[in-house]
Amino acid sequence: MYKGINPEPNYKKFQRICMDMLERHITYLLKADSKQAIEGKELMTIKIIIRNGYTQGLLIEHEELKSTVTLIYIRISGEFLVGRIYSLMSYNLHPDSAFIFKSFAHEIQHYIDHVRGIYKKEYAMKDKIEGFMKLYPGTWLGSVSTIYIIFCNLYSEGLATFVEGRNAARIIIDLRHISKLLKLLDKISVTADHEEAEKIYDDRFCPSQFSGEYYLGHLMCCTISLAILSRKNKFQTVSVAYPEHRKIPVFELSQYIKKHKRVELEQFDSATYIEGYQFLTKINHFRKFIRAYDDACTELHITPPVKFLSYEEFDRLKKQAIGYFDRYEEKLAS
Amino acid sequence: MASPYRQQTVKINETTVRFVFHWKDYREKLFLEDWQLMQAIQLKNSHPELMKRGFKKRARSTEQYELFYR
Repeated sequence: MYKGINPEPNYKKFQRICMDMLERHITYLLKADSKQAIEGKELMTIKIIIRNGYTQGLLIEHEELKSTVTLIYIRISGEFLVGRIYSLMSYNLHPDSAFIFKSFAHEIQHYIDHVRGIYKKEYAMKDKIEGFMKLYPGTWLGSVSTIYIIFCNLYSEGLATFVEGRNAARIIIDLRHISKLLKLLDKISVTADHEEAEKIYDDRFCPSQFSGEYYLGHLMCCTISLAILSRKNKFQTVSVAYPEHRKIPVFELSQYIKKHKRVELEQFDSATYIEGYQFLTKINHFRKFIRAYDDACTELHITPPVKFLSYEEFDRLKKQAIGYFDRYEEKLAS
Repeated sequence: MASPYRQQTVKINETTVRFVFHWKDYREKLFLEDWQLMQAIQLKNSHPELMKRGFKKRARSTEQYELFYR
């Protein structure tokens, strides 16, 4: 009972309402923010598979292996639909449109990246690692594939989070959280056992999309966008929403963050976002993405710890992870 | 039971967009379980004391609860 309403669950009604709502929300996205997904195509199919998200640890996901140029294949948890659409509407409330938009904008961006061929490189490397394992059965690969996937995701998940965050109110920069993630990344790279590395990744590094490569990748996208803006106007300011409401010159941002540890910025204006997005979608490999972030930090005078990743650091982590033979032998000897 | 499959076509600019939904992995039984969970969440909001005693028994996990509210 809520506000005098005590609805009875009705599966048919649930299906009808959810399909109508999803169609409306996705149609809106395809007309506006995610229109690149259908541009130039005569026919596009959007296949939505409703699953039991609880048993599969799923909220919503784009399936790259099944999507094609004219097919967007998305799996979504039934609980998502009950919680975000049906139960709210049963109580005469609005569906959670913000959450539906952000979730689908994120997944449709993955589809756009898929068509751009971003994931082909990831799969090629995965095949290479798997090929190595077949060649040397029983050989332990430590954290190589985990680290590799994290760096791939920095770009793909970072960009998708940047897209879904377009209408979000704030960009949160939390130095303590960043520092915690970097320590975990270092820990993963020296973890001897592959399964253990995966467990640290799943449970601690990236337990949700507000952490891990989603968070770091998003901040990298925002930094790159700010650098593009500063190239046009060197007196550019950014609006801080927390810990105080004020505008600060973009070149003082690094010092400001160092002083306050946690800073929340107002979302960029539409023009900055669009320019940033256009630049980011020209990148086609995570290495280029890291270099672009490196350059953006240099341009904006952003220094560590606010600058949390550089190409040298990426190289160090990669070498640390690849040094598995030594650790494997150590493990055997112990 | 409603059809586990539905197609609908929408025209967006020059593109015909076909929506296809598959329900076969989310049947009525699961839906009713999740509905019960939502009722439990509703109870938590309106009767926090009751929920301290009863919520964990009804919700399948706290993660599932957070799924709706994060």
